[in-house]
Amino acid sequence: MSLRDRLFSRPRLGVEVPEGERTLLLIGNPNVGKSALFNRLTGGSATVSNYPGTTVDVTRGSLVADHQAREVIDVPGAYSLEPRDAAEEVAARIVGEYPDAVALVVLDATRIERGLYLLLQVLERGMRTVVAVNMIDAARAKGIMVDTAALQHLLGVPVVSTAATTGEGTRDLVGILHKAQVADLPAVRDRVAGKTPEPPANLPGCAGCGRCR
Amino acid sequence: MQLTECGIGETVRVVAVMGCERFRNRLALRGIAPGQICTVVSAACGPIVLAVDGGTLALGRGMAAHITVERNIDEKSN
Repeated sequence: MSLRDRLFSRPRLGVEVPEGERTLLLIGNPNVGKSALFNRLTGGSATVSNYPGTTVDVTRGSLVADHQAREVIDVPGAYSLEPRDAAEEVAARIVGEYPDAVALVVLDATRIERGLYLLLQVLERGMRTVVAVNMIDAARAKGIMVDTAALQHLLGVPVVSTAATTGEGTRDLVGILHKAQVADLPAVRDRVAGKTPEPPANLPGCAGCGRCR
Repeated sequence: MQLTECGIGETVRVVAVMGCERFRNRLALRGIAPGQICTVVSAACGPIVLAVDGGTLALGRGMAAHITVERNIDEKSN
């Protein structure tokens, strides 16, 4: 790829992005704030309540960022992509329907470990992914600190902390959506094991993967 | 002891979850794994409701019977 191509490869005003790639899927465990984040991103009015399983169907909205519109889909909460109830079935079906979409995986900052299984399943599917560590305000109130930079470095996909109910971090999140990355799982395994894998030779410029810190 | 034997208000630590890997995985994703401390919110009749990590989780008696817990969590607390 020539330098010129690299410089101008980002989508610009008037440049059409293929249909599926403009879709943003909000994926996460039940009750982590996907619908609240959806409303923040789209100005929509998805029902939000403080108990799991509120969203059982699909809500769609649109978000205009970087001079282009994206379709945002609020996926019902799921613990895994192997469906075991009606809401998970809907979630797994939608994820299967949009293989080219950007996956915005929403984690609950107060119990981050529970969402990592689902996150890994999304990464295994080879979807371009961005991670939102939501409810960072609640975590802070509980004295929980989340090292998003370390998580980003380990996973090689952008990680942003947000608080959907107050709007904190949502601007950063929107700004980083175009940097969504496909995770290199063997490299993730190496980094978790403490090794430093060789960076790929054809690294396409800075994509917010955090490799360079 | 099994989770089904616990009374309301008891705080217990999960020792083991019996069953196939799929079942254990399913409970782990909902916060029930060995080492986890949880409080019984309701166990009078019907499902057992637990408070786990700031959330609540309702388990049927069949599932709860697969979970072994211990009461004296203070003595062995790390």
